Amino acid sequence: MSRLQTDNINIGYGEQLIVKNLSVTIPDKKITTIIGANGCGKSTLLKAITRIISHQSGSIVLDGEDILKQNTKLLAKKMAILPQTTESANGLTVGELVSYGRFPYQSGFGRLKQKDYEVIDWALDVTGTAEFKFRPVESLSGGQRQRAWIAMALAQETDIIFLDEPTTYLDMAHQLEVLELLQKLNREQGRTIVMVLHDLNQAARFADSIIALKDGEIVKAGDAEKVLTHEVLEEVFQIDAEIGKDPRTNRPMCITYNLKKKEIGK
Amino acid sequence: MKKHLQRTTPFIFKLIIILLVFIGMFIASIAFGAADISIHDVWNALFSTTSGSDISIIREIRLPREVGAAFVGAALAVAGAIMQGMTRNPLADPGLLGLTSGANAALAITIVFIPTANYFGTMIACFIGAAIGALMVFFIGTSARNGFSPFKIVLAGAAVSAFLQAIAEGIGIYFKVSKDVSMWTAGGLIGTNWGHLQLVIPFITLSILISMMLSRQLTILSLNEEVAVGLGQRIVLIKAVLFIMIILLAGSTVALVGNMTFIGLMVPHIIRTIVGTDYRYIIPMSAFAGGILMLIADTLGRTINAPWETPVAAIVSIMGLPFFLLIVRRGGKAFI
Repeated sequence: MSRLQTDNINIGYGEQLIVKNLSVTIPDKKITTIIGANGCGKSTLLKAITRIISHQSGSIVLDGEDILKQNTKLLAKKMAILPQTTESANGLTVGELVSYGRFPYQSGFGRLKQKDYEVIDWALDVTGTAEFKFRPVESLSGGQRQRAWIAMALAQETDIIFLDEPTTYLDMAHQLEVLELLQKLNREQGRTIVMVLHDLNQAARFADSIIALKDGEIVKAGDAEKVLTHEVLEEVFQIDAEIGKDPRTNRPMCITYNLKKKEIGK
Repeated sequence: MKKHLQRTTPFIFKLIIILLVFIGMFIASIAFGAADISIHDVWNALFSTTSGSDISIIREIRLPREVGAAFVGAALAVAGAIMQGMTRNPLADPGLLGLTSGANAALAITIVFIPTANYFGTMIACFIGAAIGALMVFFIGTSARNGFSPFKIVLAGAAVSAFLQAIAEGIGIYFKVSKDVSMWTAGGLIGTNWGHLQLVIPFITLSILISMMLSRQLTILSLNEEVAVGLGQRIVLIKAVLFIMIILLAGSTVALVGNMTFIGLMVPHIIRTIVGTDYRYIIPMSAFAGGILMLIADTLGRTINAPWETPVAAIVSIMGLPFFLLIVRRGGKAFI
C-alpha cells in the first residue's frame, strides 16, 4: 500500500474541468514523472496533490487521510514542493533561502536552533551549494540557482519531494546535473520524487514510473517500457515517434518523430 | 560552525548603527527650528524636571511634533515594505495605491457628517477609508484580463487616488469645510499634541510589532506564494492579517498628518540595499529609517524658509518623485 494516492479527483478553474476523474497511486521511494502536452493538466495535478490548489471532488490521500483535512504545517514536514517559477529570490543569500526550508519546524519568532543549522548545512552539502552559502541567489547561474532551491526543499526534511519542470531554462549539462542530484537523493536516501518533465527521454531515463496525461486523464501509467511506446506517444502528443533503446542506459528513447498527418476535413 | 547566513556584517551591527543615527536625528530635529534651542535645553527638557520657556517649547510643541514625525515615518515605511513584499510590486506605497487618499476622503466625510466625532472616531474613519481605497485599487488593478503588472496597479492607484481626492475636495467645497480638511491634510505635523499621539502611537507600535512577528511569513510570500503553501503557511490568514496591519499603519498616519506619499516607497528600497530582501531585517530597519527620513523632512520644513513652514508633504514629494522615476526606469529595481 502506497502512502500517497488520488481517488477520482476532479480539478478545475470555474466551470472548466482540467483534470477529470483521475485516480493514481504514487509509488513510495521511487521517481515518478508526469508527462503530457501543454495544457494537459500535469502542473494542475501536481498543484492539487500538493494542496496549492484545491480539488473539486474525489480525494487525495496521504498516510490514510485526505490532505485537505490535514494540518498544513504538518503536511509541510511530509512533502516539499518546488514550483516552476522561482525567479524572485533576489537579495537573499543562498544560506538564507535554504534556512526558510526550516519554516515548518519553527514557531513564534522562529529563531534557528542548532539542529536547523545542521540540516541547512547538510542540504547545502548534498546539493553542492555550500560554497555559495553567503552569496546572493541572483549571482548564481541557472543550474546553481535551481540546486539552491532544491536545497531549500531538502531542508524541509520531507520523504516526498514534488518538482514542477525542474530543468526548464537550463542548458543540457545543468539539466542532467539537477536530474542526477534527484536520482541520488532517491537512491541513497529513499526519497519519493514526483516531477513534471517535458523531455521524454529524460523521463524515461530517470523515472521508475511515468504517468502520461491527455486532456486531464491518464492515457498510460507504468514503467518507461510501458509508456514510451509508439501508440502512447501518438495518443498523448499526436506524434509519430520512432522508439529505440538508449545504448548506455538500456531505457527506451524516442529517436526521432514527425507530426502525425492530420486527416483532411477533420 | 558559523551561525550567520548573511553576506557581510551581522544584522545586529546595522541595527545599532541605524538606531544611533535615529537618536542623533531625533535630538537634532528638536534642537533646530524657528526658535533656536541649545542642546543643553534639549537635554534638560528630556531628562530633567527643570522648566523655562525654551524647555516648554520643546516639551509641548516640538517634542510631540518630532515624536509624531518619527512614528509616522516608521508606520509609512513599514506599511510600504509589507505592501511591496506581499504584492511583489516594487512600486507599492500606501500613498500611491489609494490608501492615504481613501483615508483622506473618509476624513472629509467624517468632518462634515459626524461633526461630533472625536479624534478616536476620526482615526477609525481613516482606517475604514484606507481599507476601501486599497480594495478599490486592488480590484481595478486586477480586473484586467491579462493579469496585473506593477505598473497597472500604480495606474489604478493614481486613478482611484484622483477620484477619492476629488471626493474629499468636493465635500470640502460644497459644505464649506475645505479649510478644516486641508488644515488636517496639508498641515502635516503642525499642531500635533500629546493627546493625538496617545491615541495613534499604540496602533502604530502594535502593528509594527505584529508585522515583525510575521516577517518570516512575509519573506516567504515575497518569494513565491506556491512556495509559501508548500512550506505549510496559511497564506489567506497571513495575508489578511498583514492587510489589516497596512490599513492600521496607513490610517494612523493620515489621522496624524494627512496624505504622505513616497516614504513607504523609498525606505524599503534603500533598506534592501543594506540588508537584502529578508523581511526579518527589512521591517525593523525600515521603521527606524522611515522615522529618520520624516524627521529630516520635518526639520527641513521648519528651517529652510523660517519663520514660515514649508509643507512637509512637499519636501517628501521632492525627495520621492525622482526616486519613483528611478525605480520605474530600472524596471522595478532601485539599486539591487
